[in-house]
Amino acid sequence: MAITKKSAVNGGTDRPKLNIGSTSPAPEKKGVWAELSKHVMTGISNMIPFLIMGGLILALSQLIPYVILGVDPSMGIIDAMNSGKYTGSSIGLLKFAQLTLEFGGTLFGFAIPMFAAFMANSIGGKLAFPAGFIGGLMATKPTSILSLTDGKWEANSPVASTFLGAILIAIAAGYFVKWLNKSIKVSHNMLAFKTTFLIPIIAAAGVMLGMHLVVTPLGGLINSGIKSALGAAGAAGSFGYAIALSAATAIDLGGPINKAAGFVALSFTTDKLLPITARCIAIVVPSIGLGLATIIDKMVVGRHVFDKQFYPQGKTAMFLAFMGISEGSIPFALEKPSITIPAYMIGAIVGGTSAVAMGAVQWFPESAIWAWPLISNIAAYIAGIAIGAVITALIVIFARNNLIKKGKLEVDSND
Amino acid sequence: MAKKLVALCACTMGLAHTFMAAQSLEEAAKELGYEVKIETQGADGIQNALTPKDLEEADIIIQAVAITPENNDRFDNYDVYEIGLQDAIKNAKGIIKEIEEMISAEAQ
Repeated sequence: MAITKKSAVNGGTDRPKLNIGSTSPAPEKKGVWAELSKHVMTGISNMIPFLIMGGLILALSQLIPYVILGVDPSMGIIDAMNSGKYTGSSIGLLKFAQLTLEFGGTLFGFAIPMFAAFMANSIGGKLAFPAGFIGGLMATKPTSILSLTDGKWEANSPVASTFLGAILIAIAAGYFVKWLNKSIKVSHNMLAFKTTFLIPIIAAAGVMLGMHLVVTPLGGLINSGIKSALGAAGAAGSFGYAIALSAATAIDLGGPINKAAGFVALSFTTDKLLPITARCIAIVVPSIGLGLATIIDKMVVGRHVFDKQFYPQGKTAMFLAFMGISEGSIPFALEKPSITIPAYMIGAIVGGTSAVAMGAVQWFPESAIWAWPLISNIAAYIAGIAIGAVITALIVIFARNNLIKKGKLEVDSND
Repeated sequence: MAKKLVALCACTMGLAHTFMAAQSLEEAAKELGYEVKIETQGADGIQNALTPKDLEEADIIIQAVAITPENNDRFDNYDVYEIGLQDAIKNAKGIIKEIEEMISAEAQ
């Protein structure tokens, strides 16, 4: 078990009951990766409300024209208004759709800056927050490169470094500010000078130059590199990605492997490199599958295979899954991991891969039902979820039934 | 007066692990005879916030976190035991006992 002791900063003098005569132990024993992952998670945790709010509004901008009004998907909202096919209240609806598109898009666009801001804040404290924020914003809207063409200076925008750039600059800004704070030593009455002038200007200038000279070119280069590598790998590459992504998503339900996979998938999808389809499906398949198992077990093997209290939990898990929340299936995984986890993984892999194979594409990083209008080829997506859920349910039911028959598993049910 | 254990739980999404960890820590601590108070920082914000008095009175301070919690500087002057959320959910009692051993080993 990992217990990390963080000793009191001032030696714990006000806690004599613990520290009398103790030689102060090494305070932070945590590995670099564990430390860094905590900062990344803090960023993601604070970015998610932006994704949700922006996504909800953006979903309206897709739902109104393309689902309710039946506008041709290749046509923009304003083009549809100009096409002359829509009048009266339809025009009003389209106006509203355009509003949601711009508002939701702007809100959504703040997800990456917020990620960088909170990650930097987690590393370097309050002064690192604005440095991370502006770094993240520059990662989505990079500063232009000036070049001399035919005797005239022109401003060109480079390829954005996006999520990759945001994480690099958040780390750089966070530790830079932390280091500045520690190494600039001033007398007490100069403290205001240090925190309101010295560190802000060094940090801001550092982020400005760091983004412009290093992170944007590097991130842009890597992003275009990945893009062309994926283009070359073609269909085989995207299947391999779908399989790996769904397996990693389902293996520990919100644990470290899931989060790492989510991090990679999120950066690929926000950078429009690879769609997040397989992960969205893998998030919901385990819960829906288990919910299904609690409903159909009696029909399939003629007996209840779970303890009584799991039946309402199964239905709750299923409902939560449609809200895009996978945590409902955790209790099942804790109870009998040796059966449940493989069932989750197999169902998620088959479901995710078959949806991708049938042509479902989701760029929007959210599994909830309200994000479904943003999927292209939704029938394939739903079919993938159904296939995966049925497979998960059947594996769980038969495996548990088998153990019960052998007397290795007892369930407390009303049979 | 009973020994006092305070803890702060926070996971990435703030939906499930936070509250599962809080519940299992609370049950384990009560079973071991502690007076217990647990703050959760979930999607519904900070609930049951630990006050300076709570921290001052506590014999054990635990953070079961996957992220950097809000208002973390109030813990600066205390010894804090940081654990994983999974460990807190699965084996809260074992963790508390292990921390007790760490403390008594240090007091020697």
